[in-house]
Amino acid sequence: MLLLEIIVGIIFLIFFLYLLILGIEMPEYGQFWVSPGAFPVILNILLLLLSLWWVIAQIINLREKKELKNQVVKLSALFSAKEEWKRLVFISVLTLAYIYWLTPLLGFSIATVVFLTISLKLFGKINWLKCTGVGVLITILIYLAFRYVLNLPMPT
Amino acid sequence: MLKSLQLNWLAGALVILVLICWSGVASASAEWPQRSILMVIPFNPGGATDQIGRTLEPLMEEKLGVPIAAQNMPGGATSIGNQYVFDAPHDGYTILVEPTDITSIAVMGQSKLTWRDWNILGVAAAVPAVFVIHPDSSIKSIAELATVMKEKQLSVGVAASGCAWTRAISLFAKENGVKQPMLVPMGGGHPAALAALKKEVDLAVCGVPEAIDLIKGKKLTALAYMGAEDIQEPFIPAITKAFPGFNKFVPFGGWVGMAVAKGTPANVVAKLQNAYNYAVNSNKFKEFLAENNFLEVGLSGEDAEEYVAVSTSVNAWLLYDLGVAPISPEEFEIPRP
Amino acid sequence: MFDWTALFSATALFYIVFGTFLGIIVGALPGLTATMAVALLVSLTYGLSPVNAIVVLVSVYLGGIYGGSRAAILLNVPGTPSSAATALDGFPLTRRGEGAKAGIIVTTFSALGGILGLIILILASPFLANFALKFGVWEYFWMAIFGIFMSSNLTSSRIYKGLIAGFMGMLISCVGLDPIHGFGRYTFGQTSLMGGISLVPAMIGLFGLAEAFEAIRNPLSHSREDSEQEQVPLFQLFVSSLKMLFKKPILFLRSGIVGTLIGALPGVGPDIASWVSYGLAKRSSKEKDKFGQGSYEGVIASETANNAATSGVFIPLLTLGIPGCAVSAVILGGIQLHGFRPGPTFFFENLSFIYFIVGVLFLTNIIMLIEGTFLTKIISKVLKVNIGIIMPVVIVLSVIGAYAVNLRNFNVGVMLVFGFLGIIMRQLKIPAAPMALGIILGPMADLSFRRGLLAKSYSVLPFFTRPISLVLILTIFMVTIGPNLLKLFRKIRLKRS
Repeated sequence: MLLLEIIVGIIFLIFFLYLLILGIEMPEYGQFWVSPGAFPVILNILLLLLSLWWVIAQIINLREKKELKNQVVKLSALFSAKEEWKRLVFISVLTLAYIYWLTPLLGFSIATVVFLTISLKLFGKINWLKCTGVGVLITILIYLAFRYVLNLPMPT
Repeated sequence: MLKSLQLNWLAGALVILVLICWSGVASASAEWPQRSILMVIPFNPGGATDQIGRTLEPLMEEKLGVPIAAQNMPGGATSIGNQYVFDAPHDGYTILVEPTDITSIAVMGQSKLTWRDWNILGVAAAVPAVFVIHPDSSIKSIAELATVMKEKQLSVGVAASGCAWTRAISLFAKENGVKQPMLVPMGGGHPAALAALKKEVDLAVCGVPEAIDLIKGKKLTALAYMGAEDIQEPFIPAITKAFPGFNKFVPFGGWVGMAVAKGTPANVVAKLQNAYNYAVNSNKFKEFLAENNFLEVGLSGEDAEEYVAVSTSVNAWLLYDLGVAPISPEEFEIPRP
Repeated sequence: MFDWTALFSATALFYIVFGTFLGIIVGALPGLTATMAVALLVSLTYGLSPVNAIVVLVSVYLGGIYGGSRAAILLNVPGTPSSAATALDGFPLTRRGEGAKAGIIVTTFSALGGILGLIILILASPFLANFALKFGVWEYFWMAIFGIFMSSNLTSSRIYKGLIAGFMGMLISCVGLDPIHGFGRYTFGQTSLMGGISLVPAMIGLFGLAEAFEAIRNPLSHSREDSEQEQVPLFQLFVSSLKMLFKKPILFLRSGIVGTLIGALPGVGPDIASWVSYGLAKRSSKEKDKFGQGSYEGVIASETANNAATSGVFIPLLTLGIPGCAVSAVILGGIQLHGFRPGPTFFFENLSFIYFIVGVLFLTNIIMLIEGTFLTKIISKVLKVNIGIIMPVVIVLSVIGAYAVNLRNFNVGVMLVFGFLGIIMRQLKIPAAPMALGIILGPMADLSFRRGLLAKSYSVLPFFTRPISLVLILTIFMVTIGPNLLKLFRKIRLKRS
C-alpha cells in the first residue's frame, strides 16, 4: 500500500526529528558523546535518513507505476468497513474491554471466562454451550497451572 | 432444550468456579506474607551486592515461609533498583539489597532518594576496595601506580558513577596529588574487574570478593587493597604498607545492607527484621563472609540506620569536595561528618 | 570430591524429565520465555540438593529455548526471542501441511546441536574462553550492529525497512533511566516510563497479540493445506530427520559451531546466534529463494544454533566464572551457593564437577529429543483446532505473560501498544523481528559505545582499528550492505540500458 507507506514515512520524519531535538537537549557529563543523549541522537539521525530513503523510494515507485489514482482508491477502500476489518475492530475492543473493564469489575478469572466465551462465539464457529464450557475449562487450567505450578499471581 | 448431561457439566463447572473465587477471597484476609517476595538487587549478577543478597535469600525464606525471588535490576548506579522498590507498594512484598550507593546517588544527580526514604533492616558486610591490574601491565606495585598517574591520565574501570570504587580511586589520586583518572562505569564490581582482564581499561577498582577468584587464578594482579593488614591467601598487600597516610581511611570501600521502603506497616517491618536478623546471624552466612573476604559489620535496626546516616555524610561530602559530585549535599540536608 | 554419579540417581533423572517438560511447555506458550521460567523456578530449587538444583535449572533452560520453536513453527508466534528466525520458515511449512515434520526435524537438530556444542565445550573450553576475552566493548558494539543488520537483511525485501524497525527497537530500549548516569530519557515525567520498556511485554505484543489479531482478522492466513505428511508415523519422521542430517552435514556443523561460539561470548547468547546462523545458511545455500517460503535449511540453521548456544554459554561460565546471560547468572548463583566457585583454576581442579555439567547437558538434550518428538505430534494435533478458538486463548496467555514479568500493570499496556503497532507494521510491510532484536541489543550498543569512548579518552579510533572490530565491520559490509549495494547498481544499470 504505497500511499499509506508514504504518509506514514512522512509522519516518521516528523517524529524522529522531534526525538532528535529532545536527544540533543539531554545533559552532558563530561562530553556529549559519552552522555545519555549520544546514542539517541545517533539513532534518530539514522532513522531520519532511513525514513527519507523510504519515502523517496516509494515516491519513485509510485511515479513509475503511474498509479496515483489507483492508490487513492485503494486507500479509501482500506478505511471502509470490510468484513475483515470488522473482525479486527471487534477483537480489539473485546481485548481492551477485557483488560480495562472486565478484569477490574469481575476479577481476572471471571473476566477471562467472559472474554473467552464471547470471543469463541464470535470467531470460533461453535455453539454457546461449547463456548462457555471451553472458556471455563481453560480458565481453570490456566489458574491452576500458574498459581500452583509456577507460583505466579494473577493480574489485578 | 439442554440435555441433562450438559446441564450437569455446566453446573459442575460453575461450582468449581465459585470455589476458586471463594478461596481467592479467603486468602486475602490471611496474614502477611501470603505470596512470594521480590528481592531487588540493584547490580549485575556476580558482584558483592548480588552475592550477599543471594546468600541471605534462602535463609530469610526459611524464616518467612514464602519464596523470595531475587531479581537483578542494574543501572543508574543503583538508582533504577532503588526507584523501582520505592515505587512499588510499601507492603513489604518488595525489598531491596542496599549497597553504599544510596549515600551518593542523590549528590551525583542520579536520584532523589536518600537513606531517609528507607527502613534499613541492617548493614551486613563491608567490602574493602582492591586495585587490580592485568598481569601484563608494566605497573607492578601500588607505589608505581602513583608514579605513573603523575604523568598519565589512566582509564579506570569502576562499578558506577559515584560508587564506592570511584571514591576509592578518587581519594587515592587526591591524597597522592596525581591526575584524577578517567572513570569507566561497567555496571558492577565484577564487570569492572573483567574490563581490566580484557585490557579494556588500564586499571580496575572493585570489592575484594568480586575479584578474588581472578586474582587467585593469576588472571589479575592485585596491587593493594584498602585495609590495614595484608591478605595472605592469595597475597594482597595492604595499602597502608606503601602509603601509611591511608591508615586513617581504612578499611575503605562499600557496604551492603538490606532495606524496605519507609511507610511499610510496622508489623511487616518487624517480620522482615526478624528474618533478616536470623539470616545474618546464621553460621552459613558468617562462613560465607569469611570465605570471601567480606568484613562482617553486623548492625541492624536503628544502629544500622545511624551507620548509614554517618556513611552518607562522609561519602556525599567526600564526593562533592573532590569535585566528582555536581550537587551539594546541603540540598539534601546532609550534614558534614 | 563432587559426587557426579548422583546424576544417575532416580531423583535426578526424574528432575531432568520433569524440568525439560516444564521448560518446553513454558517456552512454547506465547507470553512466557525460557528466562522467565528459570527465574520463576530458582527459589523453588533452594530446598534441593546441589545436584538436583542445577539439574532443574539447566533442563528448564534448555527445554525452554527449544520450546520456543513449537509455537514459532505452528502458530507463527515465537515463544522466545531466539526462535524468531525459526518462524520465518517454520510457519510457511506448517501452512504447507508439513508442520509436524518440521517440528520433528527441528527437535532432532536442536538436540544434536546442543550435543555438538557440548563436544566443543569439552574439547576447547579454555582456548575458546580466552579467545572470548579478546572481545572488548568495541567489539560488542559492532556485534550489536551486526545483529541488527543481519536480521533486517533477512526479514525484509528492502533493507531500509528492517533497519528502521531495528533502530526503532534500539530507540525504544533507550526509554527510561540511563544505565550509566541515571538520567531519565524520553520519560516525559512519567514514573512508569522511568522503568523503561521491558522486552517481554513488547515482544508478546509484537509477535503474540499482533499475530492473534491478524489471525482473527484474516483466518485464511493460518489455513493449512492437507498433506500426506500429516499421516506419516512418528518414527518415520524421525528417520527422515536423520536422513536430512546426512544430506546436509555442513549445514549442521556450521550452525552448531556458530551457535556455540556466539553462545560463548558473554552477554550475547542464543537470540543472536539463531539469526547469524540463519543468515550464513542462506548465503551458502543452493536454494536461497526458498528461505522465507518454507525452507528446511532455514529452520535447521536457526534452531541448531540456538541450542548449541545453550552449551556455549557454559564455556565462559565454567572456565572463568563469567555468566553469559541472565539465565547463566542464575545458574552460576546456584552453583556458588552450593559451595563451588567457578573461576580460572576451577576447570582443571574440579573435573568431577565438569563431568557433572557435561552429563547434565548430554542427558537433557537426549531427553529433550524424546519428549520433544512426542510432544510435537500432540501439540500439532491440538493446534489444528479452529484458529478462532486458539487465538483468544493466546490473547489470555499474552495478558498473563505481560503481567507476570515483574507484576506491573503498565506492562500490559505496553503489550497492547506493541500489539497495535505490530498490526500497523504488517500493513506497512515492516518486519517485527528486527525491532525485538533492537530492544535486546540497544543497551549493548549504547553502553559499549560510551564505555569505549571513556576507556580511550573519548577517541573513536579503537572502534575502527582494533583487529576483531575490523573483522566485524568487514563482515557486516560483506554480508549485508555489500549485496544490497550490488542490487542497487544492477537496477540502475538495467534502467540505463
